[in-house]
Amino acid sequence: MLALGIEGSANKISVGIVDEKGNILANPRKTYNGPPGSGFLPKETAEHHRANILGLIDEALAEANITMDNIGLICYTKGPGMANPLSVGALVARTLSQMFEIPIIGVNHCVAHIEMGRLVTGAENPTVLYVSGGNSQVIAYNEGKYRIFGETIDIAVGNCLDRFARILKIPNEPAPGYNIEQLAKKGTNFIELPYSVKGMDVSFSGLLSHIEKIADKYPPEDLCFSLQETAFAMLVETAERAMAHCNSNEVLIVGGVGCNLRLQKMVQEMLEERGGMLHAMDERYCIDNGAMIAYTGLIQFLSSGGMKLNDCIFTQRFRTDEVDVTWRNK
Amino acid sequence: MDRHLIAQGAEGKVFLGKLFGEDVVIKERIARKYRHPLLDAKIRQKRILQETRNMGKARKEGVPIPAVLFVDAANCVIFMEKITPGITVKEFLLKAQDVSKEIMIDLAHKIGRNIALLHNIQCIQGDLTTSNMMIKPFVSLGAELNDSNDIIQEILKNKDVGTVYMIDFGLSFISNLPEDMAVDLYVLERAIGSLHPECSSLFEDILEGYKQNCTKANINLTRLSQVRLRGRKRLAFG
Ligand SMILES: Nc1ncnc2c1ncn2[C@@H]1O[C@H](COP(=O)(O)OP(=O)(O)OP(=O)(O)O)[C@@H](O)[C@H]1O
Ligand SMILES: [Mg+2]
Repeated sequence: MLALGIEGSANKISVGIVDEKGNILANPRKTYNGPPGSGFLPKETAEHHRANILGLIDEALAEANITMDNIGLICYTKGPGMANPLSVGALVARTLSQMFEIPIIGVNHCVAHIEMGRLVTGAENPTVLYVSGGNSQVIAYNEGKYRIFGETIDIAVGNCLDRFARILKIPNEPAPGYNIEQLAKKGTNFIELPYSVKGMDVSFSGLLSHIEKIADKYPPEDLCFSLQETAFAMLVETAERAMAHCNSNEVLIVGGVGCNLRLQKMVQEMLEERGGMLHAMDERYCIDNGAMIAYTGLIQFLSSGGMKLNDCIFTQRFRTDEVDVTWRNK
Repeated sequence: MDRHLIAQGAEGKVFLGKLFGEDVVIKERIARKYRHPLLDAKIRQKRILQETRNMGKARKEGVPIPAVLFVDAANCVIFMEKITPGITVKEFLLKAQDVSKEIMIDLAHKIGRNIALLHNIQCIQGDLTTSNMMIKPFVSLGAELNDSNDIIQEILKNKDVGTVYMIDFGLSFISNLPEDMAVDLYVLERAIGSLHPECSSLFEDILEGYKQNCTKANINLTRLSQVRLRGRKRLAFG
């Protein structure tokens, strides 16, 4: 059975086609970036998605060498995310479902990142470090749900990096976080910045406002370097706390910031000292994509069925631990 | 020195060893390769100071806390009294079967009281989880407790869990802000919800014990509901 998945919860719009084994037949994506010095706003992002989604569907079908008649399930991101961009994917998904009389299912974006990660890396039961522009969470599976052990109590790590990139007027292309990573490689001096860990939770707002204040006093390379070293150390520490608390020994990194090689290396070093194992992915799967929605929708559909059209809404808030994980058996 | 590893926490290795012939717990904060050396040194020094200082302070107030016996600050090592026989609240909740309502409430009230006493002296524990609390049961005469199952059986036999100890003060700090106290409680609420989802009334019962003993319970609990709301609102984006 083939599933078509639509993801558009933030600034990327993507259409993926997968089978139930998780083979990815197509997964094209387009990214909207605001002008330098500004982020992506909901209205403009939704316009971008509207302009591109139909083309991406054609592209995905052509790449997979199939037509809509071969699709057995339509999946879309139900949330969490920005309302306007989410509405585009939900609308197109409902239309396709009715036009072609195909079952439909709405998917939790965060759960999709985790399932895609487990699929691609083969991680069985990892502690998940979910780091993106909108989320920073430490998650582990327990009793039928993905439970959030730790999270940011204010802004997400990706948001912190993006906003600092804007202060420094670092370009948004290909991604602000990527450009910070490149600058950080040339940094040598460590500048002391606020470090805030509360149990398994982290806070980045104090760090961001402090580094904003000193932004013109140091070279950008050193600022980016110190920002990464500090923010990532906080994440690695909370991930390790959660591991100790859950007696877990593997980590899966998902979400856009998970592409950052410095973060991957730090987690790897933490794990070496514990005799643990890292599962990381490259940008094809770390970054939001349609295949993760298609695959998660499909395993969910096969274990507990589809959704009524009336229930196919979208929602800005949709916690990871609200989803009943019916497809895992322990 | 003869010692063996009993736990590897987030930053420390915890060993069982001897000091002047007595069994002791040795907590060592090792240098972590993943963080920048300057950051690493700063964190470890700061935490060992906070930990020993606040453990002593809170112990004086009557909160059950292991006695700190010796501190090697240069190497970030603490020697402390071993809680024995003892079991973490986490292990107890995960492994004990058919725990009576009575025992659960006794446990919860004692945890709540401990946190209240800490907050009364403006000590924020900073990492309230069930891993960081230990139960030392009342041991009946002649009983031999060799492993955690024996300890669990001993606890279940009594109507009283025994003494509930607070450990791990590495993230503790002093503050009189209701916000910090509320976040302290919120961290615990989430730790219980995620690891012990079946213990649905445990946190409520802890708050009951907290209310009875904390001088500023009302203000802090009002703040807690605000912190919870913020938590729900925050998860907006994907
Ligand atoms: N005084 C003690 N007596 C008996 N067992 C102890 C004692 N202190 C710690 N332990 C055991 O060791 C484990 C880890 O100790 P602790 O929580 O202090 O370290 P940690 O979690 O590594 O610290 P941190 O969170 O600061 O990195 C505890 O969960 C408990 O099982
Ligand atoms: Mg601990």
